[in-house]
Amino acid sequence: MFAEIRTNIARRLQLTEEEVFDGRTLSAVLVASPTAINSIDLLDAFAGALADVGLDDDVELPTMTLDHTADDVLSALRKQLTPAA
Amino acid sequence: MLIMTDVVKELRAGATISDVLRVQQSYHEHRRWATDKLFDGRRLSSNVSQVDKAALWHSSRAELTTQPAGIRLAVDGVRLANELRETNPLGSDVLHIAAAWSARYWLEEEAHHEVAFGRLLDMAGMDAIEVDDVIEHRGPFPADNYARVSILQACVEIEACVSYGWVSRQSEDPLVRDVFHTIMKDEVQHRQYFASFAKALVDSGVYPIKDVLSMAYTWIRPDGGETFGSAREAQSERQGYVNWWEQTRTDEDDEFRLGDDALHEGSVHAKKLTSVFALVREATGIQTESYDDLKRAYFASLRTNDVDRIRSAVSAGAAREAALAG
Repeated sequence: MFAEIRTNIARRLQLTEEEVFDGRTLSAVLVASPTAINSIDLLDAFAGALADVGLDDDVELPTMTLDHTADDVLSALRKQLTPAA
Repeated sequence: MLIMTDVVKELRAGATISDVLRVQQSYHEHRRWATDKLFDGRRLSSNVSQVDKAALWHSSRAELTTQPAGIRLAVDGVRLANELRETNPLGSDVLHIAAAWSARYWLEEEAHHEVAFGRLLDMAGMDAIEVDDVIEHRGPFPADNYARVSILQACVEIEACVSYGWVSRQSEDPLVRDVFHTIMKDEVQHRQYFASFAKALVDSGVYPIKDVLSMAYTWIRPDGGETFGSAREAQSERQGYVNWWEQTRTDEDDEFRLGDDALHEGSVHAKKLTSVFALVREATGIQTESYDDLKRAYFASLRTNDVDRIRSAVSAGAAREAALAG
């Protein structure tokens, strides 16, 4: 499922997965994207990717500043979807 | 005399840009007030409280940031209108109308607010806002999608309406009450205009519904929404522009701190939320009554721009939640 989410995030930002998930900050992802202007576009990409796989009601998108990475966001989402031990 | 809430309907019925602007002008003239008249011969009583002063400290600075936002909307509105002239003349008309309103009336009316609060600062014996501070608050407003900015500004107007309304009710000083109440009434109208522009931009096909919903969702989301301002755990670094709601002073030992009762608690917070839900309904026709409804609408809008399908997603989600709760 997370592989699909990664693919959909990159597609929505019109970037390759490598460009989104190579450890660069979200602000660097914004600079690289030919369509995204600001954090709302990033929100659309992440929320849209969750919507694409039908996770609308299951998670809350974390609020993160642009000095975080896309993997930081996915890690936070993974934690929400992992049942507590 | 009213605000045209359905601009696209009026344009489709034959109204021209000039017709709509004439209505805007009439409404502006009808509602104008003068700071000289409001303050004429009046003084503050000895009842100006520290809570009043804290509200004034924040409001006087917040009003400074309207000017760069208004300039941005005026300039970008005309630019985008010209870009769309051939491909979407209806949307182009809407943008000319929104840009003119911003350049003419919004900026002019907000100037009254800035000056009125500045005069009140003087009368209350508070320090004038330092020049460097004024200049910082004039930082250029960033370029963005016009529908999103319209909703952002509507949400900012809601913050102002609710906050100024709160001050005008709790203050014991008649002049403080009058100034805040007078300005609050302007902000109510501004919110209405921004809602009408966002609706018209969606109705004319310039932007999809998601652009209205993303900003409303961003504004009220419980974990870090813009409405929580400086109470949020982390703030993004801004490039030159001041989001005044991120600079709210809340430290216990700050003489101008605002308490939770003025910001995020009880009736104040509830009013902000219900006003944002009403804004979403006015701009999109989608009924939401809770954060969960709004979140469902937003996520659905990322899959489809069909308003009925988005409405269905909201009602289906609410029904699922009710069934689980039962």
